[in-house]
Amino acid sequence: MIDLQHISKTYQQGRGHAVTALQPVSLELAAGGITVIQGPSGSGKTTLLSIIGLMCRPSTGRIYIDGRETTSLPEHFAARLRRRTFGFVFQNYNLIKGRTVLDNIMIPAYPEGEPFSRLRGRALELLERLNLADKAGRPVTALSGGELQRVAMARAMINNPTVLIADEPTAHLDTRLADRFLAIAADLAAEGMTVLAASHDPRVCNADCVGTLISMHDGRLLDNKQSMP
Amino acid sequence: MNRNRYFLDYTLVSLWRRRWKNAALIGVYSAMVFLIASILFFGDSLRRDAAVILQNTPEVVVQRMLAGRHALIPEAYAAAIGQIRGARNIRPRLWGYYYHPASQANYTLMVPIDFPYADDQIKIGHGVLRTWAAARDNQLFFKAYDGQTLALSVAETFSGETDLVTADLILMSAATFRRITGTPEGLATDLVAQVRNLEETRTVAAKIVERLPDTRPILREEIQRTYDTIFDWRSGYVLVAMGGAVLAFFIFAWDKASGLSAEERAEIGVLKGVGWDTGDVLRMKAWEGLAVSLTAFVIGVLAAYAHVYLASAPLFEHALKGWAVLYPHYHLRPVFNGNTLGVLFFFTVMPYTLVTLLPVWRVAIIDPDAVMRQFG
Repeated sequence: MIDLQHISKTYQQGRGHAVTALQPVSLELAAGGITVIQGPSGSGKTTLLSIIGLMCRPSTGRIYIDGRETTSLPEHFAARLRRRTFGFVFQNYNLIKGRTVLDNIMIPAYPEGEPFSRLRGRALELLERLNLADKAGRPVTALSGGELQRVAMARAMINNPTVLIADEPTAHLDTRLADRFLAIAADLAAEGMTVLAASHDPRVCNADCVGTLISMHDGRLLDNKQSMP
Repeated sequence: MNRNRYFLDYTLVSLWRRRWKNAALIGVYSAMVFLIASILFFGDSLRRDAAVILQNTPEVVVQRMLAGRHALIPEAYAAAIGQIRGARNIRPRLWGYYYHPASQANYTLMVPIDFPYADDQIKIGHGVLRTWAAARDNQLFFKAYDGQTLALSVAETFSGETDLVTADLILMSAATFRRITGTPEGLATDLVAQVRNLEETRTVAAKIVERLPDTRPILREEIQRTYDTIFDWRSGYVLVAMGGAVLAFFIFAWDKASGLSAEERAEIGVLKGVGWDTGDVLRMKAWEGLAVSLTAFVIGVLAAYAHVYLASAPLFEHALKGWAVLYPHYHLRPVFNGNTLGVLFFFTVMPYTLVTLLPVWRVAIIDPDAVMRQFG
């Protein structure tokens, strides 16, 4: 479903200084299941996730999503595809301060312009599912770490995406909350969603529910391990 | 429709989140709109009043010129002008200025067509009554051109509503005027004429000069233009004087606009990351700029309206009404001028909105990943 062909990424840092975050990578990711990209800090995991999720353009190579070439899409269409295909759970959650939990969850759907009652209903359903129904009207600054992550997951799912991308999802969580995240991810994968996570946390990499484990180092792909959950 | 509602809703919550900062901005912005709007409203009102007053004045005033200066004109010239086709109701006028040293003020003396009082009586404006020093028993004392003193009693005063044009006015009989000013019989200050067909005014004026080469006809439209120029000049003078304040505001706006905080930049990155495109971010920020500038515009315009039309513009009256010992007290009448509001809107709301969009656009076109790495 996601096909990367010779993707690389080089960042320009100041005049004449370039940093290669990702060496040319080719990768095919099938729909469904949980895929984890593992590797130490600076190995290129986040860059790879960003490129897959159309958050940045690769320096070279092409990306096909469901057979459709996306690297040359105009910004407006790329944003729409990103919105409808991917849901993001950022490492620091990146929720918008000063807004309620419900507002934060609905924000990705604003450009779709659907009726408010329908959007609100769906956001409340997600909160219910993630045991956050009583937090809907709270400002996000009043939540605990685990609650913040579940709000970020609800926000990622508001547009019914087919791929959930999570960057270091357990970095700020204790074991109990990390297990909870994995349980939710497993549920979503069971419902047909593709979950793609970057992590160097053994609790995630070694979890039973992980179907594919991709290793990275210094911007390169190492061996891939595939198993049936 | 829903999209814009969502963006507007997002904007209003954002503004509320930074409410003290935005309140300060709106305060400064409103003050600037208030200053400019006050000047424009004041000018509009004076121009309208001047136009109304001039509507009832004769189409042509004929002066005699001697050595390039205005001189007294023989009343006999009226007969020569009367022979010009299209000219009618030609009559001499007697008017002039009288400086009263004790009051340190200049007053306007004028002889109306039908003066209903005796030669030792006068009709005066409110300003005269207010400022004339040493008025006794309802009598004003004038020093004639030959040094003799004349005591004239006040028979009537003009109502306060006409203060704009009558504040410094003293009406008297022709005989008294000649006695005070030394104007000889048979001579007048100038002549006025009406023209049957207004389209022919310039032709009539040309014929007057042809027949009476030492005269200078002044057309009503020229007087109107002079008034407009004076008000425009005064408005411009005050605007230039306030230029510093206006400039300070734009520096403030630019600083605010170009100095997006790290939080604001990260927020733009997040919005793009979760699926907004550059256009959505710009639309949201445009609503924000419009909300601030429209609020300031409405507050500034309403405050200026109250300042000019309810309080008679106490902040600018000395600069805009002119310099005189004898300030007329009058209320400016409200004028609705769509052009004025349009110009004001264009020069206050539009620049701010655009200035605030530029830095947002610069951040919004960057890949969301890069924005979040840099500022997240």
